[in-house]
Amino acid sequence: MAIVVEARKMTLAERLYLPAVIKGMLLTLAHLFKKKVTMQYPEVQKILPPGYRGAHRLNKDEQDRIKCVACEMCAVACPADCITIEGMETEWSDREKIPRTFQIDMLRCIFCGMCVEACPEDAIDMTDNIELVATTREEMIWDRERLLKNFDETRDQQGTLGQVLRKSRKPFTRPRGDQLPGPPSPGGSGGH
Amino acid sequence: MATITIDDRQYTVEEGRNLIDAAADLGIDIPHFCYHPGLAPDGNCRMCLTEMEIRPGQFGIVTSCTIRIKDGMNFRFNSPAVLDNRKGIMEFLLINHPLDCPWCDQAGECKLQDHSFDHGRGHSRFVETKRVPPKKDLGPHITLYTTRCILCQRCTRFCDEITGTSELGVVQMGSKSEIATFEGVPLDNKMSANVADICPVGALVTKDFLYKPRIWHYEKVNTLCPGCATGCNTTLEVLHQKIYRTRPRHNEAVNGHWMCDEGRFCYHDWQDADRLQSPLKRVDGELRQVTWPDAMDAAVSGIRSVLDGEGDSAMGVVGSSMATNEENYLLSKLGKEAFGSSTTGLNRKPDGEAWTSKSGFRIAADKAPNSRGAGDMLGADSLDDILRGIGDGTIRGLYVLGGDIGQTLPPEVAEAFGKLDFLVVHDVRLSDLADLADVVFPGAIPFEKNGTMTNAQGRVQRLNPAFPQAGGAREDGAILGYVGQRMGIEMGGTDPAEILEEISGRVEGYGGLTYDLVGDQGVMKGGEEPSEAAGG
Repeated sequence: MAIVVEARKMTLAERLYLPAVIKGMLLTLAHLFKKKVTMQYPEVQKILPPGYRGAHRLNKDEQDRIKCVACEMCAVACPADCITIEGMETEWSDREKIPRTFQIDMLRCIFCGMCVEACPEDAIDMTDNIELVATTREEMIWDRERLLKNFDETRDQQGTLGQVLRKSRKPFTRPRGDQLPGPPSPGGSGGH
Repeated sequence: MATITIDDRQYTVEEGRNLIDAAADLGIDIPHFCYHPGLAPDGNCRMCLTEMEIRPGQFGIVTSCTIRIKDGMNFRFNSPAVLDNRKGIMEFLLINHPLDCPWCDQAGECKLQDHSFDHGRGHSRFVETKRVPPKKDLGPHITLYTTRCILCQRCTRFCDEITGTSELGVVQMGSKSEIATFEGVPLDNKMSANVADICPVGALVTKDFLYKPRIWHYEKVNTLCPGCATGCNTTLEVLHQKIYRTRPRHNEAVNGHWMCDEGRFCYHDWQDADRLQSPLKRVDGELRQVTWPDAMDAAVSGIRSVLDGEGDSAMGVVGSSMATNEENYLLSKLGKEAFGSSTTGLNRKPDGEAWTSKSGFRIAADKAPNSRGAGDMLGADSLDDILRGIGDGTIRGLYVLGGDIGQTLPPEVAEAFGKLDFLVVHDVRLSDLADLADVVFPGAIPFEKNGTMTNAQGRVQRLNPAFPQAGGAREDGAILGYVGQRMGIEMGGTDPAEILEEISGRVEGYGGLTYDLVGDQGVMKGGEEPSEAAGG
């Protein structure tokens, strides 16, 4: 059933429209003198906070070798199941195993950072590289080489997620010459 | 039976049993490293120490693995002294342990990890430098990561007690002790890879399972080893339709805790084989790939023309000792009902070497897993009748189950099969048997099969599929069922469980057998006693 609504009769000022136009112009004018909320991306880059969870990288050690030992702890921790690792033997004297393949499906990844927390070797890290662009799905699956390349590109970055976490983490072993310990504190971390 | 007291509670357990096993039966876990139910107790790791009442009111520390239960014994498992001791032992064991869990293949099934988590102190007080002895190549299958070893000596006792070869020993003294072989005598016996299974830590590892995906990824499939007629119970570890490792599954009546190296590593030959991907049909003297309907038409019309031309008994069937009882039964049924023939044969593998370990573990001479079962189903245990039939011209066509990856036909058999008018073969690769055939159906390998097999003792055991058939291959039972249907006979279901029920009503010795009864430990057919002593 239709309802008949009577249109209100507009006043003269309203019928002229001009006062409303001027009011709008004044608002625009006021904004010219306020602080800008937008930025000229990509000419201007946003400064991201420390520990930002952007694209992953695979860290390298002092000798420029991959740090990862293919223990798959990150893959276990990953809630999106986006990490695939296959190990192989290495001839290096200080470790047995390195990854032959290491893939992160960036389309599946939810950037939660659990992989970085899980890593016992500080081998995987997250950077402030946020420009994840590709034209095919395959390109968005980052392999070992792509992740190592991201390390080279972000080598100088301060405050990656891994660095932030390491700073907040309790020491792995107690200092030497420690007193005989009491009963382990609940939730206390550490190893042998 | 004996009544014992554990932490002020009374339990009734079997007398004479060792305390670790008795407690395990009660659901109480006593941590231990050196004790293994398949080996004699040694008491060297000291992890299983518990308190026992040695005089009224007075408790003393004892090793659980060497204690035999007697009536009236009184134990304390959770007293401060026991808990303190465990913590201390864990600390000692971890002194020189490298803690390389991230790249250790044992991580996830490591006793040291488990017990350290449950009983360890959580951090180390050791400030000196850890000893780092290099890793050693012990033999063709085994590598020793010397740093990870806790010297429980399960491996040396295995070589002394089970194989009787005594290759391994402990050299040096005190903190420098390590497991070693004698100069120029590698750990090379028929069961050497078992030491990697019983090693409670990641010290002894097989070269076959090194730097592989982590152990928690694998799907475990309980099945049988297809390597010989002993029919060792095994567990396959499967990932992405590929077998990564075979481990023996405990069955006291068959293989104990062990299996031989040949059987353990034989999965490579099967899964790396160049498998038949589609049916083949002989066209102008040459085998060509064809579709399933084409091959089925060719098989059925070929069989019909033999039967029409030469009479009912002109088609024979030859079973396979690689195939399950159910498949061989379906084949004999096809022979009896569709071909009207009673000439059956079994294509046996030539015998290999038989071997018995010091402890009584047997490797059978018969290198096929189901010769006995196939013989029971077919009522034939050789090719004699078939060869005679071909010789005197009464058999003009054959339906042969192949399916052995290492199949080679003896020349006289190849010559006889060459005289046939029509030959249908199920096989897994283009063997010299398949090469003679007019129609070849691609069948399944034992790791893809569901069914039962009968080992040399006469024990009927379950076979479970680890993954689906490769490519265009099909289960042999399903192929036989379809051929039977096309020949116009009622084959019944092709589900192996249903076929076993049918077998139980028709084949002597198999009465009353069902999948439930066979279970995961198997059952003797006809209620027989084992005809051969059980393994180690």
